[in-house]
Amino acid sequence: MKIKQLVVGITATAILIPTLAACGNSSSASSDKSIELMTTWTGDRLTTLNKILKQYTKKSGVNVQVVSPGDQYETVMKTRMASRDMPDVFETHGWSLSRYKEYLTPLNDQSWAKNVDEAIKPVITDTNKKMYVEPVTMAINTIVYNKDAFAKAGVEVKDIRTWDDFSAACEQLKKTGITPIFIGNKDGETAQLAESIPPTQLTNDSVKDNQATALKNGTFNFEKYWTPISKMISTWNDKGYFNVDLLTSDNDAGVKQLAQGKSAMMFGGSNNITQALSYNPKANLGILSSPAAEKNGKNSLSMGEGVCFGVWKDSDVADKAENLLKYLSTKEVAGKIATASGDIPALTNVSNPDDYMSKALDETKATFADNLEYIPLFDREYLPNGMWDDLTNSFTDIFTTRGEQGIQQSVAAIKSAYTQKLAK
Amino acid sequence: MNTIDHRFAKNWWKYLLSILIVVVYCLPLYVLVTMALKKMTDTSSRLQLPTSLYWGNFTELFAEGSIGRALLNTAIITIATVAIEVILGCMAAYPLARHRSRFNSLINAIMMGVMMIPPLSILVGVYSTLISMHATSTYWGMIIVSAAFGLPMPIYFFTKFIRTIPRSLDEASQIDGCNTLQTFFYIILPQLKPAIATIVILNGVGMWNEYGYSLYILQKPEMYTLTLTISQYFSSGANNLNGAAAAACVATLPMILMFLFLQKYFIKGTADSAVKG
Amino acid sequence: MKLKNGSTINLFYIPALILMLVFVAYPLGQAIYIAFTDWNGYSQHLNFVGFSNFFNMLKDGNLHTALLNTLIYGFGSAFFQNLFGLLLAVFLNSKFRGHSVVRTFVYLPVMIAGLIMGYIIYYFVQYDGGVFNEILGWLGQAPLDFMADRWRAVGIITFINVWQYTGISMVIYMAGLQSISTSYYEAATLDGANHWRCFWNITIPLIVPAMSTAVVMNLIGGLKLFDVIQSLTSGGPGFATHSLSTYISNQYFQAQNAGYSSAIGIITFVLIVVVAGVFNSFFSKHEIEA
Repeated sequence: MKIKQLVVGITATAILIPTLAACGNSSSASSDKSIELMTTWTGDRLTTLNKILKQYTKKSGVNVQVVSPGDQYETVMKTRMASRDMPDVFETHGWSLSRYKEYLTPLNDQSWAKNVDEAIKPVITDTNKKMYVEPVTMAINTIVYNKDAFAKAGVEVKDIRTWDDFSAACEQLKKTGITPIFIGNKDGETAQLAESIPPTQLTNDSVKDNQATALKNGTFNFEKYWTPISKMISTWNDKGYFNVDLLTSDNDAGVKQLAQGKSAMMFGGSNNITQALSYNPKANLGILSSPAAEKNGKNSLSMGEGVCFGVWKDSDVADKAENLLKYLSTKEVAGKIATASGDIPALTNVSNPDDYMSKALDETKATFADNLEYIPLFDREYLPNGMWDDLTNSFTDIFTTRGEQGIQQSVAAIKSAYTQKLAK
Repeated sequence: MNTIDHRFAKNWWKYLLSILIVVVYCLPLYVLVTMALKKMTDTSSRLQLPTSLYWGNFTELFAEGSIGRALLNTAIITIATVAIEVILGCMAAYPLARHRSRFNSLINAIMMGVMMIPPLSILVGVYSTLISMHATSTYWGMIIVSAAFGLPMPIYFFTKFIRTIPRSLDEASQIDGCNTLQTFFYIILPQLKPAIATIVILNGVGMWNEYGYSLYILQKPEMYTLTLTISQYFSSGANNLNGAAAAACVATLPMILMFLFLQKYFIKGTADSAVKG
Repeated sequence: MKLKNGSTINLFYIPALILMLVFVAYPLGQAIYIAFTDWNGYSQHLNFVGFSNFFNMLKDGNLHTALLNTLIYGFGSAFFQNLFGLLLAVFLNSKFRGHSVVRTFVYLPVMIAGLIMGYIIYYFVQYDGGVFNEILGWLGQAPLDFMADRWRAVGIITFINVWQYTGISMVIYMAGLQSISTSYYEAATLDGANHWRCFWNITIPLIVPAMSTAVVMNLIGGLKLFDVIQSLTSGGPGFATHSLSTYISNQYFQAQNAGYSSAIGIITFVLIVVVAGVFNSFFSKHEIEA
């Protein structure tokens, strides 16, 4: 007779499911009026964002549904693009033009548009002068460093004007027993090298044999111009400037070492600083500009989209979404977002001079004054869409296969990916 | 006394080996638990016991609130999915086992094939089908997709199992005047009980730990399952490994408790998957 | 009433069939269609490229690595899980006090999600502060970057999978052993056979039915390995530890080659069906059907 109970139990569950499904439906029906916002943020930063949005709900009565897929953000967005089912508001993480444009509403006529910082404008404006996102912050994506580690090794930031100077600094650091550069390639971070090195060799204004046009129109000669880049990295590797576990370590391990001064530098965004401070609030960290390829060149800082929100063009709550963006652009809110993100405010009405990052940036500005160039993110500007992973693969070859062969493989890999993606 | 000592002396290597095996199997869980009980700023060795128990990771986890909801979601989805798999699985297996036509063996082969599709390779198709049914971020969407992918295994297994039940039982019941439905419910189903237990256990554990489709189908945070919630803690932007360890403990604990209390059934269910089938 | 030429009983599988047609067959059809295009995985534009995705598979070195790794994960796992499962079963079957405690602990990891397992093992193999390196330190050895070497990394992943799921094979074999009547052994011992001969000539042949399920289950599990790799190495260093499943996901989402990824998916599907089919028919020859 027990089997009867089992059958009854199972049937009951089966009946229950549609009921539950109905619950699911009704809740989504009632939340129709809410805005779905997708963010790349997780952890403490997400908590901050949730607080901000709760306050917005209190003020406006509009619910905001926050979705945070973490590391899987891009993956989830790609499925949603494929199915033409986008969140009402979402972060574009550097891809507002080359990837998300066809899904976004132009936002030029918004009240906050006049406040957009000149430094970020070219990065988010397309050839028709249209802007598709609200840039709350801009990200500096160059090199972060530990000041105490530099001081200990006797390295002066103002002396690092060329890549040769940079190598010399690495040598000093290494002698002092500090890992000069940490890269966590489990998270594909070798690609970060591309935001610093290639622009200084190929595309910056101060580069004589400038390859910007060639890269954009597909006539770029990889063998001739990319080989030196791979070679430089390979030389650093031979000299032991990178962490030994480069291939298998995650980014977080590097952040921890940076915080403790065990490693001196990381290529990548200034958000590494924010994270390092959570490990060691007393860490003395700064932003380092990329040195130039030649003696009289300028140092450079790569600027890109930080926290940028776009509105889905087919959203049925577009008005509400635009209203939300307006709220996010206010001085107080945008300031909070900038502080939490570890980026620089990108709206001119917002400034937080006391913020750790703003101070760090001001310091770099003061050190190099007129010898500093602001450049867009190399991969977004000069490479075809979707090359980030290929950059990782190409640079990884240098580390998995040492010497000349690895350099050649690395150049061949980037060339073939570039050719293939450009053809699409 | 003497005999016990003697037996122990003879078996000493067995105890030594046992201890070794238990250590090898416990170490990862030990590291997970000790990490969960340490502060994020505690950089002591991972093998070292925490000097003082720090419950902050757990209190934060529950204060944040999403883990309770995730437990509930996971339970609902697991129970419902397994229930559907069992009901539809039994029903489908009966004709496939008893009525061997070419068409049915083709169906059998298809089931085998589906069992092996790497699910992600057809993700976009699944996702857009769900969109057109308004089934994303709903329980039923997740349940029905999981059941569809989970069904081949119970069908394959039940089919093998029913074939071991003598046909004469069916025939006898028909002579007694039962129709096919009655034969199925009164004759076959009671015999299937151990097989059902096996599927409930194996697929239940699989569903509880599912990570793949849930990521795409359940996008609203209030629909997140345990694995999704945990992967949040491990994402590269959130660097609190100790908090993540606490979350992993909470997610794993129900399964471990269930296993410890229902061990007999788990062991028997797993064993039955082979011997009877 | 129509058991013999039964059509009513065929109706029973219709619900299952419909469910699978809608959520498996139809999406699979879409995947086949995508395999002939250059779709990047999200754009609204795509072009037909004929069979070129399939041809590209021939010269893609990373795919060949993934294929080789998948075979290692699949066959390596199946082999060692069965070997260790059998050894443990024989060991625990020799009935000593506390043998059930050992059984409990060996089975326990089966309950843990592969995703979490990958993260836990990452705490072990990490270069800086990882548990293994700490043990090496106690032994006075230099720390090792465990996952940097391709073969070592593949081996470690295989063994995590083996370690985690050996409990299943063990339990299956324990039941298999217990179902063998002791009279066989008694008769053999009378004929002068030693332990070893008993094991080879009685135990092994009689647990083949148990073995067939264990092998096929382990093989499928190993060939489809995904979450552990994803959370432990993300396929790295470089592409060295990718399995076909993770490589498909990598090509689909990171490399934006959805068409190519679908083509690999279809070939993988065919491959796994063939492998599992061969194994199934091999073992069913050794079984007596009821």
